[in-house]
Amino acid sequence: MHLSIQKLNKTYPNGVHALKDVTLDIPTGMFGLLGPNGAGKSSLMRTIATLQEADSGSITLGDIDVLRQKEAVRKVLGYLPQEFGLYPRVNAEMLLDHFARLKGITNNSERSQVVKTLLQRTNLWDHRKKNLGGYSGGMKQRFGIAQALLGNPKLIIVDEPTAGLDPTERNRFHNLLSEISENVIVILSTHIIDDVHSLCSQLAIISTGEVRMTGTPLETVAKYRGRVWKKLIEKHDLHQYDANQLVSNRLVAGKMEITSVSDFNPDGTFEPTEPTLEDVYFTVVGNSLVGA
Amino acid sequence: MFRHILSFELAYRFRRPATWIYFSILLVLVFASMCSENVTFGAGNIHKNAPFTISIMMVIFSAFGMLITSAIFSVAVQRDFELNTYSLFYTAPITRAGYLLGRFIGAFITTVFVFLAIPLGIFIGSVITPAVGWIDPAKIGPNSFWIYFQPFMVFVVPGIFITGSIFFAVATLTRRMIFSYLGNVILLVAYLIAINEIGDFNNLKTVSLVDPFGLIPVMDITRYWTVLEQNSMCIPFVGTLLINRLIWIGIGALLFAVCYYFFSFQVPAGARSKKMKDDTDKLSGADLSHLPQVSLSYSTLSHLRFAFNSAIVNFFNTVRQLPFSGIVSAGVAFLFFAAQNLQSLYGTKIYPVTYSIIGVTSGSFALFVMIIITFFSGELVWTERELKLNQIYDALPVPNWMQFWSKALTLFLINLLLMTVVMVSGILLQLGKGYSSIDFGQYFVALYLIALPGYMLLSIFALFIQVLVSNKYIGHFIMVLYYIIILLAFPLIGLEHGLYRFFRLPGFIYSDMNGYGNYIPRILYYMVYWGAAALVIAVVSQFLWPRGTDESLASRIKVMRSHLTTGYSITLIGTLLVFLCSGAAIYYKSDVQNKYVTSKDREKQQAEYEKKYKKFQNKPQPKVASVFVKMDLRPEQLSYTAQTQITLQNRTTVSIDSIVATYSIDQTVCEIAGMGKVIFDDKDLGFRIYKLDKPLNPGDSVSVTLKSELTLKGFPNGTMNNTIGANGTFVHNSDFVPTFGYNMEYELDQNDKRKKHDLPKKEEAPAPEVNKGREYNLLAQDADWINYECIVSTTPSQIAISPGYLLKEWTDGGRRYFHYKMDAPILNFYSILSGKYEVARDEYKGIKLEIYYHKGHEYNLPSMMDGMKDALKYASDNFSPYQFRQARIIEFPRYETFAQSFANTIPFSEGIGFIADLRDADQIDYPYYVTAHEIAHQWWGHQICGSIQKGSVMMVESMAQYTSLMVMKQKFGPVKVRRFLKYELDQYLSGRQFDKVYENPLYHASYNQQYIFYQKGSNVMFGMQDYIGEANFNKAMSAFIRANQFQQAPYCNSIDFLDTLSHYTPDSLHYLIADMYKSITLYSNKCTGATYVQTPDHKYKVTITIEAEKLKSDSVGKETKVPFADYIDIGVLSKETKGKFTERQLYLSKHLIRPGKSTIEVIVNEEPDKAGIDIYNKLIDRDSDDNLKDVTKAPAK
Repeated sequence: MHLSIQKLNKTYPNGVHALKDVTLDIPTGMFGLLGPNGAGKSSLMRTIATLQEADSGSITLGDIDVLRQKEAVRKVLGYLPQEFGLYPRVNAEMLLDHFARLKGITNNSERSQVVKTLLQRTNLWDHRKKNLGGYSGGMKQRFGIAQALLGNPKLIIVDEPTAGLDPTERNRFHNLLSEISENVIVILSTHIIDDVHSLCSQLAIISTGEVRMTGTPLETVAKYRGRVWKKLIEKHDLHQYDANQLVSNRLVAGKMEITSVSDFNPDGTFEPTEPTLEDVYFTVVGNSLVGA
Repeated sequence: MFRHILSFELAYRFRRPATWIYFSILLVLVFASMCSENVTFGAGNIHKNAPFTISIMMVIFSAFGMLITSAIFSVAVQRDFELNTYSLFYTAPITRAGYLLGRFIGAFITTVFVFLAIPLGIFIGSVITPAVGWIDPAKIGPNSFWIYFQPFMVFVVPGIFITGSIFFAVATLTRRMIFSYLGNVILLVAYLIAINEIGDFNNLKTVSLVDPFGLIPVMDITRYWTVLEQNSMCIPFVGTLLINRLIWIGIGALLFAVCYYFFSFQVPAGARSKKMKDDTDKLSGADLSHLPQVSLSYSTLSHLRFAFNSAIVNFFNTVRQLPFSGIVSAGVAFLFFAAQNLQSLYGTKIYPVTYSIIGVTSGSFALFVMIIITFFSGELVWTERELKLNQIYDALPVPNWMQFWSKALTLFLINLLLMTVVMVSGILLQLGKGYSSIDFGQYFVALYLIALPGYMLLSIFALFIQVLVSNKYIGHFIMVLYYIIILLAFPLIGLEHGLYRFFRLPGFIYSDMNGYGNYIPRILYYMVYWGAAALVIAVVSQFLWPRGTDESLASRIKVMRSHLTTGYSITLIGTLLVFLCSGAAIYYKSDVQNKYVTSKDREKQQAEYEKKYKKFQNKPQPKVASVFVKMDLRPEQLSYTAQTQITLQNRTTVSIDSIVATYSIDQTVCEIAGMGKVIFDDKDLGFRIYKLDKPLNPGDSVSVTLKSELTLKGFPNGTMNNTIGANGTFVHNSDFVPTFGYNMEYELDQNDKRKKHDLPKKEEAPAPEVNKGREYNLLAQDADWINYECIVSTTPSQIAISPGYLLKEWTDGGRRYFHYKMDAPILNFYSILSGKYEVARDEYKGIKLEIYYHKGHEYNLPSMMDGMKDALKYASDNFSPYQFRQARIIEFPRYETFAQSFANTIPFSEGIGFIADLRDADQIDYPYYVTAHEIAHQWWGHQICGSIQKGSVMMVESMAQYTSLMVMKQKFGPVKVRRFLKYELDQYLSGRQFDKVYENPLYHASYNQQYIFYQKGSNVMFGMQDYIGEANFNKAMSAFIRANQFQQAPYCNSIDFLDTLSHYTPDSLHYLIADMYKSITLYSNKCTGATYVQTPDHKYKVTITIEAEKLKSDSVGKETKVPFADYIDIGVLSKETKGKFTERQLYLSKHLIRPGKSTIEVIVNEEPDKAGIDIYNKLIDRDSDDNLKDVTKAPAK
């Protein structure tokens, strides 16, 4: 299975050009979509998940024309949206069973087997009889994963799944995702760079609707080796530096660490450092926190 | 603090478009209601801006405006929770009082501002509409600031405060809009139904206090206001109204206090609710990459099954919600409430037969069903999106149709449940009233086969609207608009055709005799028609089903085409074809086979008829001298044909060369042979001129043959023609025999309508004082007395009846024939009935009595039989002999609810009397009364029939009322008659308000002033006989009838009667004739106190203080006090010992009473209970409730 996106375009009625000629090739495994808020990540994912029409371009999943054969896509799709709710007065087992039926698992014993397995493996088995209204954020998110895994999907899309989770939850969630991704395509959208770094075999960085770069995390970082410079300065000295030369700044123990990407040491006072995915991200996205 | 919060609130409110939208909506609605003559808040000649009308409009619009009040007040605090701004406010250093009061008063001022649209709309309407000619300037009275200001301050402002406090408290304390929203709907519907039901109540004073808007106290205070009073007086802010307003303002303040007490600056309940503790220690060691393999199947069957399963899940989910059970239980409560007053007549209810119970449900419960459909269609369509579950849901491999149909199926299950609730409640009601002949078949058909499909049409439409719009509340709003516009307003503006009254099924009347009668085909056709339309919008809804995140309608329409597979195209085209074909069939049946006539068209036809043919009114015409009907009824084919032999005689002094005939255009065939050539025929209005072959000289006769035929084909759009029914045919002579000459009865009689059609004011009948109009009798102007004979055939299982005696009955060619012949002359007024009848027989002094009734309607046959006997006895003993040897009552289906007296034959609707519940002996036995009344018409109407002059109707109806009252008095005693007379008095007094022309004294009553010749007639005739003595009064009646019975023209009139009456009235009481008959006289008598002391000889001395006042009213209700010294009843009643109405009379005598206060002492033998003046309501008293007072023991001296 292989997902191929060609020259995808989408403009919203309010004039926002959400996707500009997006072209991506996504193989089996975990694929990270990185980008700031409003970059077009969710638009892209919703389009792949058949929830949104594109203006032009094409998406194919194996033999399936995603934009036209929506029913076919939905049969192999597992989707966990960025934000979702659940029927508050229904318990987890009932709702999962409900979704399982909707996914086409009509055989009763198979269905109850898969529901049971999923609830057990997402650690919800003990709470299966409890109404979803009382679930914590993490439990809800795990339920979301469980439903996304129903019916042996070939394509799994998860949109910023760890927002609002505590660190333990996030860890566990990542473990789950990496287990799944062995045989299927998993697209993970996030703006947490570390997540991508640790989880994804492939990634793409999107900004203002355009794909800025693609590759494996290692390759990506490797391209920047020897070009990233950092320096610790006093906060009030920031104005002395040319904002255009800096890709990011951040506070480290009360001082300010500024980063610059260039072939040379910008003014000789910077220290060379090993590039991180974060440095790449800021460079590519062109984010300028400088002077903010 | 408070001032700042208030000014911020006001600034916020007035910047919100909602405030201005509410204002504009209200302004437009009020103004629109001022523009139409069809929207009336007062009756008759009341100005559109009369102080009374303004008050009523203010009350009604502020009751409806409750929707606005709740919207404004509910969000005052609640919006902080909805927008999550509460945490900012609650942590700010503000006081509870400042916050709550500021928000409350801000909302209050805003609402008062919005409601200023009401007086503004009325004022603008009263200025503009007459200026541009929409409203007759005569309908607009003088404007002044006070007539707007007073009702605004008395009704609107307190109303806002009261309802506002309720909504403010509910929304603030529950923090959920839904409760406020629902409370609102329930309150409004409850209020409307209560107001509707209360119309019947006699104890307005007590229920006055429970009305938060003040309409009931207004009804109480103005119950007997005349037009003049309504046009000139604001409703005085005293008495029950004042108490009502104070109570409700108190309740409002109390609610605000409660709200203040319980309110605290804390986070809302939802945000604090405990989440489950997660087991963070249990890390996932499970392997999710190797899940069990499952087989997937996506068959249509499995989707169908799933749609069904999920409908069941949704259904239980809905039913368990508080709003649902809330609305349903409110509905059931109202259903039970409404059923308590089941079609009562004179306070007597009918048996809870299944159709009447179902009728109640279609009235009061239907509203609740509509609310549920409107509300829950929105909930169902929006649940997933509101829970943010839609993205998961929409990415599932399920087709759109499954989503849509599972929701539709949910609504179906909900409707099914509601119908079952109605049925169970209905059966419980029936059993509760001790009625056990429950007709399950009828429940099944009426609820599950007719009502349920109707509600399903509405449900599909509601779902469609919710799918279409992008906001749930806008969807609700559109549905409400739909109900108001399509269901209510369309007929008012002349759009009456069922073909464009979307998703509305026509109604039906069930009759025990005729079942669903002629209504079923029409309902079925419309079911197919709207069913097909519903299927089309269902398919469109499923295409447009909001799926994914492109929610805008435009983008959904864009992808709609991709759904349109061949299968769907064929389905859609097929359904559209069904829709078009059934629509065409309906058009054919109601517009081609029948005529589509709106009420406006009918008005226009009447005007046209008058304009074109009034000139023939005084053209000399022959009169009908004899009639021989040969009619073949084929009830099973809904058809009859008749050959009628009519002899016409020239009783004028000139030669007649042509005859004009006005005929019913509903007939299939109407041809007259032997009357010469048709030289003019207006088929639209039913007017024809025949040129006689040779002129008819004075005294000459001509015999003509009328061929008429009626076959009911198709179905009309409007009122069903029920002349012929499979079981229960009632054909009136005017249905198939033309009237000869211009028929005045077709003229429009409301002057405002006449004006619209450029007709002069309605020409009044000549007064009895002038010597004009005596040449025609009241009942039929084209005849005097006629000879009558009839041969009628019908289907063998039925009996056919017409006036006359049965000469012969035979069967021929599988049809049953009856030959009736009358041996005495009768009026030109006859009918033919046929049905499957049982016959009850009896005899009174050789007069054969028969009741032809529907099997199962035996309940009141003894009462009716007694009524016949007693009335025959009373009238023949006291007036003159009965002219026939037989009297018959014939039941007919309840499409009309009257009884009508033909010569020796009285058709009697199954809806009145036959199913009256008389098991409680305290009830007024109206079957007995109606029977006696109709029998009395054999004298008053069929022996004497006055001229067409004003007041002659008194000699028909008032006399019959008198006879039945006297018969009732003999049978049931004076106490029951008092109750009856009180009903009559109330109806007279309220009838006065609604007179569209002006009030006449009884002796001038015109033919459409029922409240005068029935109701006032009862009181006056009964009072008169009481004053001059029954025997004496009957002597006058007898002398009058003997002098005038069976007279040919010139006919007698009301003055002739009053002349006779005055012969039998002592001079001292002659004033009564002037007061009661010749003028509009009212008393305002009341008892102000009554005490008693025991006398040494163990008797009781009762001291009664009374106040008396006598008024004369002119025709528009302007009343003037007049001096008097009249004899008026003073009475004392004893304690009611058993039952409710068994009080006994201890003392009754006439005392000479003068205006003002008097004190009267009387001695009685038993302990008195009540005492007062005019205790039997023999006089016309403006308030008959204060005549009697409880007698208390006087404090010892």
